[in-house]
Amino acid sequence: MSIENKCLRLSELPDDGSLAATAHAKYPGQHCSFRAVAGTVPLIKNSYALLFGPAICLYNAKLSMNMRSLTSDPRPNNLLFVNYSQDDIIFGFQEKVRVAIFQADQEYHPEVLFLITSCLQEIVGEDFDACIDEIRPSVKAKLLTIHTENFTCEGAAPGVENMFKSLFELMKEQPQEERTANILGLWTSTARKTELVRLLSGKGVRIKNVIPSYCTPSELEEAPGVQLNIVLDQYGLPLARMMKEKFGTNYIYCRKPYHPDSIEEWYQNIASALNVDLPVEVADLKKKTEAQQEKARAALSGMTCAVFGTSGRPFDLAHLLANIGIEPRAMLLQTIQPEDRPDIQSLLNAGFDPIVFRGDNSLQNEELLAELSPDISVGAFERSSLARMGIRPIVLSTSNYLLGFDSTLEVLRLIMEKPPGLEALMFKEKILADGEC
Amino acid sequence: MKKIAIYGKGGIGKSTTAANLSAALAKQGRRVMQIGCDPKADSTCLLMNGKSVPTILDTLRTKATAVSLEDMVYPGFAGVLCAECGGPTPGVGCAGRGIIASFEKLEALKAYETYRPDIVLYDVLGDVVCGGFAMPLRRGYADEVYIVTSGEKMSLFAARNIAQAVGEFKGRGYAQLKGMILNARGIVDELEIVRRAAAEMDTKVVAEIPRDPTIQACEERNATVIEGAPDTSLAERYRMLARSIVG
Amino acid sequence: MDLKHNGFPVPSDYFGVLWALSGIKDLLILEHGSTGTCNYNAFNYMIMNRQSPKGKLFSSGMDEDDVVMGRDKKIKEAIVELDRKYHPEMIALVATGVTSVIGLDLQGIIEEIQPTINARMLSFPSGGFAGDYTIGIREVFGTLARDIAEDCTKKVRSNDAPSWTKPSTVNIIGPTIDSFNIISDLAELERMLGLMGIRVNTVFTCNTDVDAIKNMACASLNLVTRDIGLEAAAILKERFGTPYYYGLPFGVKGSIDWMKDIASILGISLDKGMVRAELEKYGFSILELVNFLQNIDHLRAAISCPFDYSSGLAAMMRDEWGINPSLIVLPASPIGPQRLNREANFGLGKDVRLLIEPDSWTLQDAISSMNPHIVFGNSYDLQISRNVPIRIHAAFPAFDHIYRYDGTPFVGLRGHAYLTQTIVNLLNQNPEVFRN
Repeated sequence: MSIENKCLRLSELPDDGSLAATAHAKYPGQHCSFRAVAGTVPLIKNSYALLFGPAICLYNAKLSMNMRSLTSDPRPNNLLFVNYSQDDIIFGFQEKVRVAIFQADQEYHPEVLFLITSCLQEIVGEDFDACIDEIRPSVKAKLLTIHTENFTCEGAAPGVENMFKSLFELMKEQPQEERTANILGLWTSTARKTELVRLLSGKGVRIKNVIPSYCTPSELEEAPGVQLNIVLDQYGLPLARMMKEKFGTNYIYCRKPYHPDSIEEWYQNIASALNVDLPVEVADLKKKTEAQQEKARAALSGMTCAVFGTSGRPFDLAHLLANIGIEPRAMLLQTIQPEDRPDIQSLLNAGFDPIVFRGDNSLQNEELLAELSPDISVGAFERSSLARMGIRPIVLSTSNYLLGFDSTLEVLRLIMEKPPGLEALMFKEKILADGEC
Repeated sequence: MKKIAIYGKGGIGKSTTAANLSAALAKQGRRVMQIGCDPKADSTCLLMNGKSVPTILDTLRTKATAVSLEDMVYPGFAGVLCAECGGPTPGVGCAGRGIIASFEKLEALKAYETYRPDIVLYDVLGDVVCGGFAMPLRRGYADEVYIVTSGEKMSLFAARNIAQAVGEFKGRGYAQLKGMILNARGIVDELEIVRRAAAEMDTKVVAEIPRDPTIQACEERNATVIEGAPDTSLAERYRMLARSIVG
Repeated sequence: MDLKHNGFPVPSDYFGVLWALSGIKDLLILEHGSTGTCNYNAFNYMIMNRQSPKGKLFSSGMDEDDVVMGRDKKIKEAIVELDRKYHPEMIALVATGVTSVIGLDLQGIIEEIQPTINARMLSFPSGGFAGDYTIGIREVFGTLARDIAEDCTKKVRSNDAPSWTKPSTVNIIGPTIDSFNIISDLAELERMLGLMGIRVNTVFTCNTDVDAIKNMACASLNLVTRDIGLEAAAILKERFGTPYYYGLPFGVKGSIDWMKDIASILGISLDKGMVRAELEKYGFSILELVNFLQNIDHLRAAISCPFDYSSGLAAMMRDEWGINPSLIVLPASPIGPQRLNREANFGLGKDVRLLIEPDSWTLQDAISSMNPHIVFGNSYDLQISRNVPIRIHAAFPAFDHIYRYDGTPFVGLRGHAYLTQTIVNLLNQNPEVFRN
């Protein structure tokens, strides 16, 4: 294999889980913090966001939001843009920042005005925060700054963590209310319809906030007064820690599971942390999911797959697939979290040792997939290039917004049912690949 | 056309040396252009009888109509063409980017083709602190670099840094280090100290400007030594430097 | 300050550079910036007909150390990797905003590394601070016309003269991957040229390769379809003597004039039978499609498109439909001689407004005060024209429209037919426009 020396077996993964870079020329590269934050802050109600950056960042942010507006999970149009020109870079941004903040405050009357900076702000090195502190007393809106410089990190994580941490400034000491919880790290308008919320409600637990999904600033102010913060991803973890330290709000860090046993354990941990019994529905849902698993096993056992990084616990997803007889041949991930270690061990214990590959250049990913030739690819988005290799693409986006057994049932459905148009796509791509009908 | 960059530690006398050098070259019949690359914009002050010229960056920012070379380049003593990049006030903005933007503008307006100077002198702030301050070193700008230094430790430290930067850019066809100009501060064995340092940097001392109150006396009258005290031995030193640089 | 709540931040020269380079097949783009910028771009190419820069655009993955220390190791390693692995004819180094601010000299890197690299290297250092996207496209066009196009004299004299030495060969200069409706429009231009026996040497730059650019001088004529291409055409004329003709054919008259002009320059005669057959098929008048109670001369129309589309559409509306557009909006100032001749281009009368690079509020006010029946514009223009009954998408950005199919031209005779048919269908769907 031409890229063999850049691949590791799961069993060879170093203790810290780090994956070595695989290419000097990267494509498309890891997510941009600025983009991730620009796509997220619109979820906070009664807010606007001022985005400060060069046209490169702003144009892309606007288009991303517009593309999102055409989907089943659109974001409110509350982004405002301040373009940094060369003059601003040379002579300083402060006056432009000041004018923009006053204008946004007076024209749009937001309760909260997010101020999102990009790489340029940090490279020039002006003290943005001090400038905002000066302005703060003169505007009605609460000003929350989010720094998103992307050149200091790999990936969007620090910027998104900063977004969560900025919300801390809205929070105030509250009396703790039993049987209440916040969920941190679920990003959708359907957050309150998830299985987790439904089951906890059944046990009398009220979900006060799903952060950052459609919370108001005053709801966030009261967020510390819950019994428990349920943290679903690493981005919300720093905020949970800050809330614990300042307000004593307890938290549980429990990323989204996929395997039915893991989901049951996940519910058990959450229930224990809330001092409630495990909802009785969990057993029924588990049984239903296992029944679906059996159907999937009957239909798909013996197949092979590649798994791309996805929301939650990727190795638990691989374990689920392995459990229904689909051998995971490769895991394509940018980063591995320390919390992945038990899932990795479970997968290895089950007798699977897939290749782990950090594809810094997506052409390398394709090279690897062409080499391994799995039957299906789970979690990738580029349908046509996979179809040309004869690999069935499984896009998991609809399961990403679900939790618990609902999510796993959706994954199983996506694997078993071919989406409309896929047959035709694969028919065409096969002819193009083979050169004959 | 010969393009020369003058670097050196802040406060070491770069601008005074550059202005005197320009004045000497102009008096020798050369057409000289001096471009100050310091946000303080005081490089050409002595050539303009103490007046500050509007900086290129301020002009670009404030002039509503199309900017022309006449808005940015001003004739000074002996016809020396004076321009100042300018830049932000300390603590804000990015001065390095300001130098890049100024140079790009001069190029876009074909400054060198229009004025056809025999000598262009870039007087560059302190040290090569970021990419913008290396702009004069790039191909198409300076051909030669001279470092102004005294025999003081910190000044030589800065000189070494600059020499190292020039060396690192060798492969790119950038300007080459041509020598050190000793602007003496009157420390013991100063010339010898600087000679040794120059040798370590694989270069030589091309001129020694002695510590001389004539410089301050002329500066008080907003003049270079070439203008204010042309018959002094100090003026002759600057003229020698000019001859040694143009060959 | 325009905070672009309902509009969009104008893409900078950086985007123009990427778009102008992306249509050159054997050229790879390496941008020096953090990977987030590249990742973002992968997304924004989607709004241009769901294109992808995969295999074309790469990032050096700049990090904090590169920024603070000004290191160039990563970009050099990336250049070597691209050269050895993909064997491109050319590698273009493109600055992002960060590269420009820290002042890294991309051309200096090329000077240093070029002897060890097989691909020819070019640098585009502006990094988004030189102006809008048109500046970036012009920068690429100018560089390619000046530095890459070669003198074909020797090749023409060789015994094995290749096909491009035929006298009736043209280059089309102007279309880039960001050009609106380019697939259909190019298909129509090439079809019309084909009817005249003219072959297209290359389309500069949305459908070309390095070799075709090198051989541009072998064409007999350069057809400039976009004002952005005029400088490149002038450079090619100066270097090789290749004449150029500027204009996009809109409407029946515009299309016939375009064909006649080109035929005249190339010294070929137009086949009258061909022209007649074309007009029979595609030359139908709007008067043949509306009935006697469907008056359209009172309709108010606004056009918000780049200069060449705006002027062409305005002429067609005026000359063929009898509708005088009352508002013309240009996203960027026109380039070249037409800048001085705005009234002649748009036939601007007393009641007609011409807005150039308006801010969102001005545009919104202009549309609402004019209250048009018809708007041609980009996705944002059409969003703010929600109450206008007939809204025709006619410019990028087009985040909500796709133009992959090659049968919906706006230009040429088929473009005339398509637009005339479309407008009549939309009028019929909104019959209230005949009444007020």
